Formats: sequence, C-alpha cells, structure tokens
Amino acid sequence: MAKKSINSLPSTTVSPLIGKRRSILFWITLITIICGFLIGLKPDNLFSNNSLKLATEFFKASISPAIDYENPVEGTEPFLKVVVESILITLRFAILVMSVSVPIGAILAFLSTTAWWPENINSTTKKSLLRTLHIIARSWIAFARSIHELIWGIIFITAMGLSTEAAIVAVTIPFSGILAKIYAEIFEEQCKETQSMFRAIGAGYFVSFLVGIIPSALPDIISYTFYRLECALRAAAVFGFVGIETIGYKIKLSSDEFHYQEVWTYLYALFLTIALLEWWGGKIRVSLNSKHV
Amino acid sequence: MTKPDQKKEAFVFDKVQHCYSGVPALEKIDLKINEGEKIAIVGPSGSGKTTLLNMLNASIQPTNGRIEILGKDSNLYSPKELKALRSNISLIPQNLALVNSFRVWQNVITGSIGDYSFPKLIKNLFAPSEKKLLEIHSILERVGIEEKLYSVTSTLSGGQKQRVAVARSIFQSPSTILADEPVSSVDPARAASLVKILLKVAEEEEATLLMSLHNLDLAIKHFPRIIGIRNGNIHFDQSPDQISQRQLEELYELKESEILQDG
Ligand SMILES: Nc1ncnc2c1ncn2[C@@H]1O[C@H](COP(=O)(O)OP(=O)(O)OP(=O)(O)O)[C@@H](O)[C@H]1O
Ligand SMILES: [Mg+2]
Repeated sequence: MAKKSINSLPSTTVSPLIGKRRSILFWITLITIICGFLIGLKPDNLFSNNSLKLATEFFKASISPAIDYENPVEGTEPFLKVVVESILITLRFAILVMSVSVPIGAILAFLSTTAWWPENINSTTKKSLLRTLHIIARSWIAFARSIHELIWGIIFITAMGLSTEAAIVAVTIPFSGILAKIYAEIFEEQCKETQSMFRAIGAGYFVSFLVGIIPSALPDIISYTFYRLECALRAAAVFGFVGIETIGYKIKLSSDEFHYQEVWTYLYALFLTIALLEWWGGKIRVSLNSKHV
Repeated sequence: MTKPDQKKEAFVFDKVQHCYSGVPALEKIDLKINEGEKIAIVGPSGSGKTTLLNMLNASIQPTNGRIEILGKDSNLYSPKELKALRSNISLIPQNLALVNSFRVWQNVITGSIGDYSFPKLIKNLFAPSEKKLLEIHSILERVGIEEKLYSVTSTLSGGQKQRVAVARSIFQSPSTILADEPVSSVDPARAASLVKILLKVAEEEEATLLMSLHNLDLAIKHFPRIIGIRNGNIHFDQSPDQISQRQLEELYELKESEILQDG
C-alpha cells in the first residue's frame, strides 16, 4: 500500500468549492440582467423629476409623524384613537385568519406526511386509502399555495362582495396550505428513534407519532406559526388597499391626500405591533428551547 | 436436572439470517432462549447485537430462516397480537429514545404506552393520579434518581437519562426486557449497580432479560449465560466459567481491515 504523507490533500486542478460558487454567481448575475431586460426595466424612471420630488417629501415626513390630522375636520374621532383602533382591527383580522388556518393547516399536514404511517401495511385497502388521502392533501396544498392571497381575495370579493369575511377566507386558503407544508416538513425532520421505540413496545402508529414526534417538533412549529401571524398582519394591511377596513385602508386614504405624516404614524404603529409580536414569540421560543438543550 | 418441558421456550431462532439492503448483518443464527433466562450479549461494534435484539420483538424480521416467539412464527403475528406481544416486551434502546422535553415522570409513564387506551394515556401524561406518581417515585428510588422526578429530561446527564430509560422499562412490567448497552454512559460502580437492578427486577418479575454489553467483566460477573457474537455469527454461547481466555481474545480480535495504520 502506498503511504501518503500526512499534510498533502488529494490534488485537483481547481479547488472545487470556489470554482463551483464562482460559476453559480456568474449565472445568477446573467439571469438577473436578462430578466430585467425582458421585463423592460428603465432605471431612469426612478429618478424622473416628479417621482423624485414625491419621494423626498415622503421620506422627509418620516421624521415628523403626525399626532393629529394634517387637515382636521370638525366632529371626527381623535387621530391617535383612530390609529390604535385600526391597529386593533388589523390584529383581529390576522388572529382570525390564524385561528382558522392553524387547525386546517395541522390537519392537512398530518394527511400529507408519511411520518406517522405504519412501516408495513399488509391490508391493500388501507394502503390505497392512505395513498389517496395523501395525494389529495398534497395536491390541495400545492394548489392553495401557488395562488397569492390577493388573487384569492379578488376571486372571493368578486363572488361574495367586499366584506371582511371574504378577505379572511381568501387569506386562509394559501396560509393554511403554507402552514401545512412547513408543519409536514418539520414532522419529517424530527429524529424517528423515539417514535420507533414506542412502536416497538406496542403503541399504535398514531400514538407513537403523537408522543414520539410532536413534542420535539413543537418549538419549531410554534416559531413558524408566529412568523405566519406576522405575515397575516401584513396581508391584513394590504387588504386595506382593496377596501377592507384594516390599517391599510387608512394608509391609502391619507396617502391619496398626500398626508405623508399621517401615513408614517400608521406605518410606525404597524412596525411597533410587529416588533411586539416578534419579542413575544422570541420569549416563547426561549422558554421552549431551554427544555431542548 | 430440569426436565425439558419444565421451562418454556420464549425465543427460538432457526437458521436466522438478516440482511440490510443485501448485506448480511446476521448469518445463520441458531438459538434457544427459555422464559426467565438472563443473558448477556457481547461482541465487537457492528457484530450484530442490536440487530439480534430488535428481532426479539419482531421489529426486524429475518431475511432467511425463522424466529419463533412464544411458540409462534414471528411473521404470523396479526397486528393485534403483535401489539399485545410488544407491550409485554420492554426495550431500552442504545440511544435511549426518551422524549427530551417531557419531565422524568412523564417519560416513565410512556413505558405503558402499549397498554393504555388513548384517553388513558393523555390523562396519565398530563393529569396523573397521586398513586401513579408515588409508583413512579418508588421506581425512581430503585434506580437512584428519585430527586429528578419533576426534572425536564433534557437537563439530565447521560447516566441519569439511562436510569430514566431503565425506570421506564420497569414501569412497563414486561415479561421480557431487551436492553441495548444500557450502562454505556455511567461510571463503573453505577454501571454494575444498574445491571444488578435490572437482574433483580427480572428475577422478581420472572422476566427474561437480554442485555448487550461492551463491558465484558460485567457480563462475566453477573450473567449465567453469555452469547458472543462476531461478524454476525455466534462465536460462543456458554456460561461464564466455560468460556476460555482464547475465545474471548478471538471475539474482539481486529480484522485486518480494521487495524488502523498510523503514519
Ligand atoms: N439500519 C441499518 N441499515 C443498514 N445497515 C445497518 C443498519 N443497522 C445496522 N446495520 C449494519 O449491520 C451490522 C450490525 O449492526 P448492529 O447495529 O446490529 O451492530 P452492534 O453489534 O449493535 O454494534 P454496536 O456495538 O456498535 O452497537 C453493522 O455492520 C451495521 O453497519
Ligand atoms: Mg448496537
């Protein structure tokens, strides 16, 4: 056997990692330029006179957000009260969306994952039933996710009229699909040893999954659910521009009248809410992770 | 002399072979294990100890040959019978397979997961009776970690976790105990005491005990029957006083390919 000296690596012409990365970078840059060209981007649009002026005004307003209407009208509610109310309405929208999406997502995740399946199923009817459910759940999840909530929104608002209910259904469809996909992935990433040990001492496959997989999956599940709540909040705000009475609606009204200081107050309030959610979610994550050293 | 029909055969291996994707891990194993026997399984890493243990609760089926478990071919158990069989066979796997976010008492409860109905399991996991907790406490006393009753399992040391797994196995009150390296992470004194505890439990419950061990001295000192496995074959199967020094040396001898070269 040929003896190799300790300090020499096997020789190749190029260090493989760097070579590969360089070509990936090259292709990404090229594709970006081609896409920009195909879409017809004209970067000078960004700097045309009018848009530059508006942008300056808008960003100037950011240092002095409004604490009252820029153009007060007799008999309207105080501005800050309206801000707080619109935040609460937006939160309510997001929480409603999540409280429907999470259970639906969990059920879809369970149906779409093979993580709990018995290792060898002898009955063919049972096998084909599981397979069918699996395929239906997967297809539905893929379909629901592939369409953005705004497009679902347009469909439902056209069908049901402009109502909060229609908007909530519209957001719930893709959200439950995305939650299901991520939950299923989290289930499948967990170590299977505890689950198979429970199977080996006589537990059924559902119980083995429940006790062997869910506890270790829980921190990731909660963490991701919080992130989705944040997304739901943003979606709620966006639906304001369609006319649903969330904070986005107020932003649009102020913005249409060029009241940029008011816009900034709303934006800061939204930012504060998301920061609070983030902080709260972080606290829960830490307390769960301390159990998962 | 014991009459042949006095002791019932718990496990009978008949030319059992097991392959993982075509590569044999066990080859032509013939073996008889009576109810209530206490057996240590020794052998080098990768010799097939874990594979052998996992065949005893039909988690792994033979590729060739057959295994009789309590007089019945392991392939012929219906799902229901298999569940009943398995809930009587406890397992302490090499990796312990504890639920890390559970408290110690909850992990002990999961020993009976095969016996409980779903509502009963949930009740016991989240609202156990005082009596259950006392029972668990006394089992933890036996394995010497009663002060950890309410601790979160992930905060325990490796050796303490092994004792939780032993407690879980005792809580199951099985008729067979399969223990795969149950004492690898504890110091020598505690390893010996843990082995003795398992032997004592098996003695009191008249349970069959099979334990794989890397520590040969423990096996020789405490077990009446020792099975040595090498390369998927039974190298010896005797009582400790019959095993020769030569056989022990052969058991752990390195294969040519395993000898690490330096420089
Ligand atoms: N799931 C598996 N897939 C493929 N090969 C496996 C699998 N489990 C075990 N093997 C192989 O089977 C052989 C026997 O493994 P086994 O785990 O039974 O050994 P062991 O005696 O328990 O070893 P150790 O003392 O290291 O635990 C080894 O060569 C191993 O690589
Ligand atoms: Mg092993």
